[in-house]
Amino acid sequence: METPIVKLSNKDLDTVYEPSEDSFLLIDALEADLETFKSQKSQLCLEIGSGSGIVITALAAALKKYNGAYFCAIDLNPNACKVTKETSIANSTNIDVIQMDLTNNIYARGIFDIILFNPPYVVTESLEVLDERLISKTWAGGKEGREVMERLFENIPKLLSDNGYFYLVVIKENDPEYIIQIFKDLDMKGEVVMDRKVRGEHLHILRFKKTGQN
Amino acid sequence: MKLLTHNMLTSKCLKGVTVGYPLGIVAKDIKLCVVDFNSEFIARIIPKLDWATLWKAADSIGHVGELPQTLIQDFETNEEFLKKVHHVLLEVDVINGDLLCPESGRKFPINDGIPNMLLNEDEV
Repeated sequence: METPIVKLSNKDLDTVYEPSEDSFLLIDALEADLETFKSQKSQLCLEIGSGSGIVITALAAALKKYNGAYFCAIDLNPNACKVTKETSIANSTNIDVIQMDLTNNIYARGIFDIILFNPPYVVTESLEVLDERLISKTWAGGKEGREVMERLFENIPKLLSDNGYFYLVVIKENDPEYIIQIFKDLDMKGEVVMDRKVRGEHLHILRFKKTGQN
Repeated sequence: MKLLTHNMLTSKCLKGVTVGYPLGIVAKDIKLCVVDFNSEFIARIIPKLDWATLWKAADSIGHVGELPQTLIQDFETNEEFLKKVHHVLLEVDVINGDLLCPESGRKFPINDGIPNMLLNEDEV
């Protein structure tokens, strides 16, 4: 998979997360599963909190010629929505962008084959999650860094297709095993598909699918 | 915003709204684009759609063309039909306008092709 071209102005960087090791690790994890996506003909792909749009654009660029797939990106930050759109266009991909809080306005019909979420995972005070400044929303995860991501978890089985995959970026402090247990209670099987230690963060990519599926 | 995206949006999370689907569309500005046609992709996506919602949305913005109001039988092998669906789903892009909650009338503005579905705290 090629790394997409992302152009962020200084003004964009005031509110939009600059692609970093966590973004690249998620792209690496998707690249490792690319043959599966092709053979399963994954067609509806959704990224929650797309930021610069680098990850969904990388996926779109890699899949578009095989699956004719559809890509949708969500972000609550209007600047991130704009930048995601620009990144998509600059890399000749076609991504529909919606400004939304998590998946609040998505009609959950279990149709998405790939869902991606690189959440704000940094452990902070709970109050920091409520900070109105958009840039802090890109990283402030509250208690154990899980406050934002946990709001989404119970929706995942309703959004995901039977053979679909959900990818989640976490760090060690978020307690990956605990998160895998939460999903087990939602009848989903999770595993760590990649991990990397960078600058004081031990990043993990978790991949989940519904149990009872191949 | 493509009509495929519209097909999955709801305003159910608004306080007092029970279904919130489908959202109405007021399109002030529509752009037609060209997207590569992949018949298998379209055939596989049709069962995942709410057909009535797609038809009504396309009709309401004047782009329903010859799309039938009810889904035809054996659509998987009907290339002409799949091309029509492809066009309506992926090539009609609503650039500016509003989405409307069917129950409360709450408007969700679409600017530069991006619908803004954010709610105020007192609305949820």
